[in-house]
Amino acid sequence: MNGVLSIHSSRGGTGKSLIAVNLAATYAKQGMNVSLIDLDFRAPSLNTVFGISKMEYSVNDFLNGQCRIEDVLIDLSEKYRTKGRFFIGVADPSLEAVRDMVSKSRKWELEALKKLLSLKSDLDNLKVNCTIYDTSPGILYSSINAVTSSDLSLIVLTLDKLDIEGTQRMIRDIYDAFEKKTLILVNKAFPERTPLSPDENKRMLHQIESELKKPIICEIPCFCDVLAASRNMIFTLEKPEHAFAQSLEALAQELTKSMSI
Amino acid sequence: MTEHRRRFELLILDELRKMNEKLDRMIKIDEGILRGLLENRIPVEEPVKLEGALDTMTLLTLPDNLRKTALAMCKLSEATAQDVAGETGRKRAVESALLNELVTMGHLAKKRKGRKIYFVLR
Repeated sequence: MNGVLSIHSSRGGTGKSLIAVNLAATYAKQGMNVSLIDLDFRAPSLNTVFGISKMEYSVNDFLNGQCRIEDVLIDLSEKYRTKGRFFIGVADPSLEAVRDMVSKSRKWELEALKKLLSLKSDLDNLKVNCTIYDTSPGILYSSINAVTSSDLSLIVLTLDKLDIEGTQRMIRDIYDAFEKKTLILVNKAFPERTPLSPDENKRMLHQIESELKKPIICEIPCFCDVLAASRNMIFTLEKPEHAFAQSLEALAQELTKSMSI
Repeated sequence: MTEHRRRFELLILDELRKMNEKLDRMIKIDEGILRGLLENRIPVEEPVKLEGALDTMTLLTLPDNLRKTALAMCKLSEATAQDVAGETGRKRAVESALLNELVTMGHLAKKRKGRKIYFVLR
């Protein structure tokens, strides 16, 4: 059965897309059939991460009813030699497409929601075990549609006060309203070379959990070499021994349990 | 006198013929305008009623119990109260009442198929 996970955040720059890409790659490496779908129509990123300059169909075309999801998905399993199928669906990064997507009507958004709600069974037919939505940060139609149509939501946040307060509001206004199963990932939690003492770490996590009233699934330190790699490397595939890749493997394992896939 | 009367009658007949011709021309023009209007008429678009659309932002404005039913309808598009109950895990009678409330609010429409009542997204 296909489990759908949406990765969301209240603000940009939390590392949401980096986590989404590496998590999808981890699952594909382990032998799962994965589809990673870019639903960040204002700032698409998967085309850049995977070096895709031309695409026949984009996720935009699928939501516009111009093609099927099979036409959008690009299989990267050969390129990255993954055990499972590694599909990605890219959003159109052109200015025209971005402008088109931000000016859609409410009626169109309802149709888009219906398409996302039935996407799970469409991908079931393609034998996909896990689907990951990389969403726009904040409260936008595209991100709420993604959250609403997923089985589980992972909110990525940093320790920035604005991030925590924004997440708190988002949980109250959106996640609780839709009774969404939600987990928190604290990213860039502390510098890699000066980790917190176990007590300090526990205290910090406990405080965030009590503020957000949602469980923290894991915390990932801030790795300078991950930032320096500037998206040219998928750590979980190319540097599996790296601590960041190890954290993602542990995260993948926990999420598998939570999604029952 | 008879000659005078005959000329007067001819004048009247001539005037009546001219009037008749004018009326025929007017009728032809009217028919042409009517045909043109019928052939080239611009359809008057009915205004799109957006109040009913159950997009996610609208879902957020609904009370909790209605939101669950409305979201199930977004998934099913067309369903009976029993179908919705299967989706939400609540009783059919509860769903029936909530679906009817969504109809009253203008978000759903109702239609009959045989003995069953179907609710449809607007």
